[in-house]
This record gives sequence, structure tokens and C-alpha cells, in this order.
Amino acid sequence: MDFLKVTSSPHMRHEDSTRIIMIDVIIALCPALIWAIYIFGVRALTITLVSVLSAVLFEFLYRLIMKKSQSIGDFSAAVTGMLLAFSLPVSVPLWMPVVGSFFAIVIVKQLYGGIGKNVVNPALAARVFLFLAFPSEMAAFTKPFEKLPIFANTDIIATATPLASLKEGTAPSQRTFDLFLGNNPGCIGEVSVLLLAAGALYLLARKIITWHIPVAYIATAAVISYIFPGSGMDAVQYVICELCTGGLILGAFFMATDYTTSPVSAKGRIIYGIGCGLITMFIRICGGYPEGVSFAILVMNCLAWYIDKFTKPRVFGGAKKNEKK
Amino acid sequence: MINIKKMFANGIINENPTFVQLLGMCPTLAVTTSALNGLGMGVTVIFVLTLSNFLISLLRKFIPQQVRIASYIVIISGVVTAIQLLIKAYFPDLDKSLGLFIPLIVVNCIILARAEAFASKNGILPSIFDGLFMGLGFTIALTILGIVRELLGAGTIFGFDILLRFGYTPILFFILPAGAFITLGVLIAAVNSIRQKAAECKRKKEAEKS
Amino acid sequence: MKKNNSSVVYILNIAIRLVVICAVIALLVATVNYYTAPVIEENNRIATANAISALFGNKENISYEEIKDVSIPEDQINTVDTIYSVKDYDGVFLGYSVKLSPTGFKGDVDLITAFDTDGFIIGVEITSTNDETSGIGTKVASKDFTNQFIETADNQISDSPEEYIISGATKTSKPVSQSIITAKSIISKLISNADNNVELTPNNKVENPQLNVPETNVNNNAEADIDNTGTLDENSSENTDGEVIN
Repeated sequence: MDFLKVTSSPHMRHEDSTRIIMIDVIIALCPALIWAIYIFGVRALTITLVSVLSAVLFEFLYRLIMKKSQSIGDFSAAVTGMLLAFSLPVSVPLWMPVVGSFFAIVIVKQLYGGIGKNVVNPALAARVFLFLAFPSEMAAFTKPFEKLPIFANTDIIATATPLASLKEGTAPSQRTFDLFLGNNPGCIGEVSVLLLAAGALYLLARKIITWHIPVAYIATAAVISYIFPGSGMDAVQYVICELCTGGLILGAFFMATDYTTSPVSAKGRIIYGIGCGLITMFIRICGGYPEGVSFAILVMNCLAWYIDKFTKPRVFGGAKKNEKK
Repeated sequence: MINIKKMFANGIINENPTFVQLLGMCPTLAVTTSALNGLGMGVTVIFVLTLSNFLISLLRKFIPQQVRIASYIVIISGVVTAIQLLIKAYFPDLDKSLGLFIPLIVVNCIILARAEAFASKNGILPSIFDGLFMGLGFTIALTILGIVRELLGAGTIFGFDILLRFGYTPILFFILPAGAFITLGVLIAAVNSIRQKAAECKRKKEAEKS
Repeated sequence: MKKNNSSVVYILNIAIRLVVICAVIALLVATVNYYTAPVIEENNRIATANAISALFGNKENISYEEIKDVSIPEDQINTVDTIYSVKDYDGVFLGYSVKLSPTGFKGDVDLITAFDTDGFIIGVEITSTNDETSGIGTKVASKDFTNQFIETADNQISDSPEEYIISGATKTSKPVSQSIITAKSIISKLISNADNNVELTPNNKVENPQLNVPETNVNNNAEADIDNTGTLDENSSENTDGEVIN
């Protein structure tokens, strides 16, 4: 009976259902992508396409060269490519998402054993890699509605993102509603909280993700920013600012909820979400970088198995440990 | 009798201190930001290792067993201090680039491990060769690591422009510690898979012979 | 009884052996040190001399003497290493040089500044960026950064380090800029005090002929009036012997 396999968790689903999940995620990300094209121009689309295509290509080539079964059919590489593109500023040279995709797919995902076996979120790890590798390119954000060439590299006049303003202690120049809608400089997929939230609602309705991680994450971040408001703003306004800037919403709903790298049980997920929120705000307020989301999620990814260990659901029907017979 | 060929193969490949024994990781990761630094550190370690192996083997009957580790450390730190003074005097540029890591050779696990595992139990000449070959293996590993990191992280090898002329944007990541870890990991995986394949080939050959 | 004896002998045995080993190693190190110490010192001297000579336009045979007993602001004591007065081969006074080592992002940044006889900065050279992040903190070593500090009579550096910060490399560039500004203020005080010295103790005229030129910078004189009280003898304490460099 070849088709009865005994494996350890995380249990791999059959390619078809993985594909359905991934397609749902792609659908959920599309509103944000459309907004990005509107705000940042067609270049946003080209960066995303380059990222997705190179991710799929690298996974295909790796599985081919290492003589393993092809896995591109489950669309997970496409989602990784898309999420990676969303974490980049729109002005990056086109070869950068290619390098990032290579790092994400080959080193972070495939070298550890493929889907389900990676320790950290590949898209996020690749974003951090690009941030460390090319610090000046990754910090060059453009104003909304600036015309950028679709393919060529470009010199741009960098502007400060709202997140950078908050870090320096000044209030961002955008109105709060602008921040919510997405009319501000930032990475391709992270600016529009409104549309990201719409996508997230879709995922929740389809039961692809559960509410535990995002709610715990965002609530923790909100509580901490309420207790320690900065930039001379009143507490509530500061909270909204902190939540709507940077990659917090994108990270909380789309990156932190990745099945492989987050805990399984509900209690574990809440702990994980709280941890993410704590570390994010800690880095944003006290740390050297203005953005803490990527590092926070990566750290909590490494702790996920540990959290799982502590929050194992109770097994019914087993004998008590110290029972003597 | 000592088998020099076997010791040579051991030091460079089979028991390579960096790729197989995973000893002395700290200077390996920290110093290999350029090929020249890696080579410089490696050569320094060859001298230290050979000299300390020689001295420890010479004194092996004299060193009391109960305090042998302390004695080894005294001998090794003496050798390292002497060599550091020589480098400061005659190679000040190397001293500048390697900086703190020269005195840190004292606690490099390779030196202590070879002292304990080999020099304290074998004659003078084999110990010298062991030090030489292990040092050589370490140097080769460090130089390869340094070349890869410098090539990817700065576009040069030993300071000579290789990739920059093609408009290559150096990936700063590989000069940073995180890049060191990842590069080292990939190299260890590569070396070990080569060794595995070689062992398999050998086994197949021997199976065919019989 | 016997056991006691043998254990004493036992411990003594080990102890003596250890002492012998330590003595042998100490002898080895001492011998190496004896032969290398002068070479190392010579190396350091040459390095400093080359750096200073490069800043003064690569003149040959520059000699420099360390100036001690200079008042340094409390918070900058660790940053200012040494202050030299620089003369050329004929004994003509060329100016001053200050060696600095401010703490940057990860460690110290070593630099040398050169001042002409009027106290204007004529050169800044970063001798070593040590552990600073390459591509970011190491930008302070670039000519673009260091040339900002070169002064002329009409164009002098500002008092606030904020004007010279490299964005993205604040933690390295700000302490470095601050140290250069501190060096300038120390040299300015030195010069204005020497001015007062020249008036009070005519003997100094022979040693430092250049300082007879009246100070063009009015501010310095104002400072000198206030600072005069405690630091009269600053310039007359040139202690260490200078070296002639070939």
C-alpha cells in the first residue's frame, strides 16, 4: 500500500489544495497591487512580474538540477515572489528582485527541504538579505505619482517615508486618512492599509488564515504605541499612524500567518502574535532601524517550534504520566 | 612509521579543521572579509600550529598529565605572543587588518585540539607535519571562504578587480557576519557532498574489484 | 606518613615542572620582544611622521614635537590623543597637528588633522576606520567628507557637527566631525595663549617667529582675555624630543 505514508508535521497537503490556498492568497494581494500600479506606475507591475517569474524559474531549475519532483505547480513560489516584490521600494533596479528571489527560493526554502520545511519565511528573509546587501537602494523611496521608467534603472530623489519621520520624532506630513488609503511613499505592497485589509478579509472568509495571529500582533503593537506615543502626537493618532505605516499590516496578515513558520495551536498563535508585536515596536521605538516588522517576524519564526512545544494540545485518552500500576 | 601522504590527505580533506572538524569557527567567520586577510590568518596559524606542536611534542614527557591543558595554553600563548610581535615588527599592514584576531589564535580550538589529540602522543617529526598539514587545510579553507566573500561582497579578489568592470553592484551582505555564516554553510555542504560522492565511488570500485 | 610525603613530593614535582615550562616560554617571548620592540616603535614613528608630512604638503624632513599640558574639554579627553607642533627641516614653524580617535559606530576611528600657523585646518586624514561598516561608516575616509573641513581665511568650519553629518552614517560621521571641531578650538586657544605669551615673555620670539603676526580673528583675542588667567605657560612646555624624518 504505497499511498499510505506516515510523516511528521507540518503535514503536507496534496498539491491541488496547496494550489487553491496559494491562488486565494494571490487574489487577496491583487487589490494592493492594483493600488500600487495606480500610485507608483507600471514599474510596480514589472517589479512584481520579474520577482514572481524569477522565483518560479529558480524553483523549477533547482528541482530539475537536484533531481527532485517538480513543485512549481503548487504556486507557492509565485506567492513568495509576489510578497517579496511587495516589500521592495518601486525604484529598485530590476535585477534586485531576481537576486532576492534566488536567495528566498534556493537558500531559504529549497536548501532546507522545500515547502513545509523552511525555518523562516522565505520572502521576509530575502527582504532582510536585500536590505543588508544593498542598503542604499533599499532605502530609496519615491513620492507617489512620480513617473518612473518601466524597465530602466533610475536615479531618484529619495523622500522620507512616514515611518522614517516617526523614527526621527516628527509627525508624518500625510493626513491620517492618506496613510490609511495608501497615498504615501513606501514599499510597493505595504502602503494601502485599506486594500490590504480588504484582501485579508477575503482570506479570513475563505478560512485560509485565522484571526489569532493578526489580531494579537496588531493589538499588541497598538497597545504599546498607545502607552508610548512619540512625535508629539496625541496617543490615538499616534497609534493609527504606527499601525498604518510600514509593513505592519502586510506582515501581520500575509507574512506572519505563513503555515510553515508559525505555530499550530490557537494559544500558540496568540503568543506568537504578541511576540511579533512586542519585537516590532521595540525595534521601531528603541532600535536603530525605523522598520521592525521583518526582523520581528523572522525572530518569532525561529521560536515557532518552541512555542509549539509548549502549547501542545492535550491528547485525549492517553495515560497520565505518573500513574503507577 | 608515519604516513606522510595520509597525514597530508587528512589535514587538507578528510579531517579539514574548518570544513569537517568545524574547529576555529570564530576567526574563520570574522577574518575572511577579504581573500588576503583569510590567507594571512591561515599562514599565521600554520606557523603557530607547527611551532606549538613541535614544542608540546618535545615536552610531552615532561608536562604533567594533571595540568596538561594549562601547560598547553602557556606554551601556545607564548608562541602566539612571539609571532604577534614579529608580525607587528615586520608586517605591520597584516597586523592592522587582522588586528584583534592574532592574539585570539591562542583560543583557536584547532591549536588546542591538535595539541591534545596528536602532539601529546606522538613524536616530534610527525607532530611537526601534523601541524603543518592541519594549518595548510585551515589556510586553504580560509582562503576559499575569503575569495568567495570578497568576490561577491566587493567584486575583487586579493584587491584585483574581477567583477566591478562589468558594472557589478557589490552585495554588501557577504562582507557582513550574516554573509559569513551563509557562505560557510554552503561551502561545508559542498565539501561534504563531494566527500560523500568520492566515498561512494571508492566503495563501488572496491565492490567491483571483489 | 609516607603518603603525606609522597603527596607533597607529588605536588612539588608538578609545580616545579610548571615553573620550568613557564620560565622557558617567558624566555622565548622576552627574547623575541628584545629584538622586535625597537622595530615596532620605529614603525609607529614612521607611520605618524608620514601621515603628518602628507598633510603638510609632503614636505620632506618634517620634525614634530609633542605639546603636553594642553587643556582639553572633559568630554573629549578620550578623543584627543596627541597634539604636535610641526616644524620643517630648517626649524621654521609650520603649524600644529592633532591626532584624534573618536568613538564611532563600533569602535574608534583614527584620524590626524593639520593646522597652519593661524589655526586654520589645512588637512584631515582618516588613518583608520577600524570596525566601521564598510560602504556606510567608511564614507568618512573619502575625500568628499574630509575636504569639507579645509579652511581658508574667509571660509571656516562651523561649530556644530550636525552640518557635516553623512546621512545614513550618523553614528560614525558625527563623532568624527565633533572631534575635528574640538581640535580646532584647542588649537585656537593654544594660538591665542601663545600670542599673549609672546607679549609677556619675549624669549619665545626666537622659537616661534610666525606667531608675531597679529591675530586676524577678533574672536580669538576675546577668548584669550577670559582664558588668560590659568594657562599662561602652555606653549613653553614642549617636552619630548622631536625626531628628524628623512
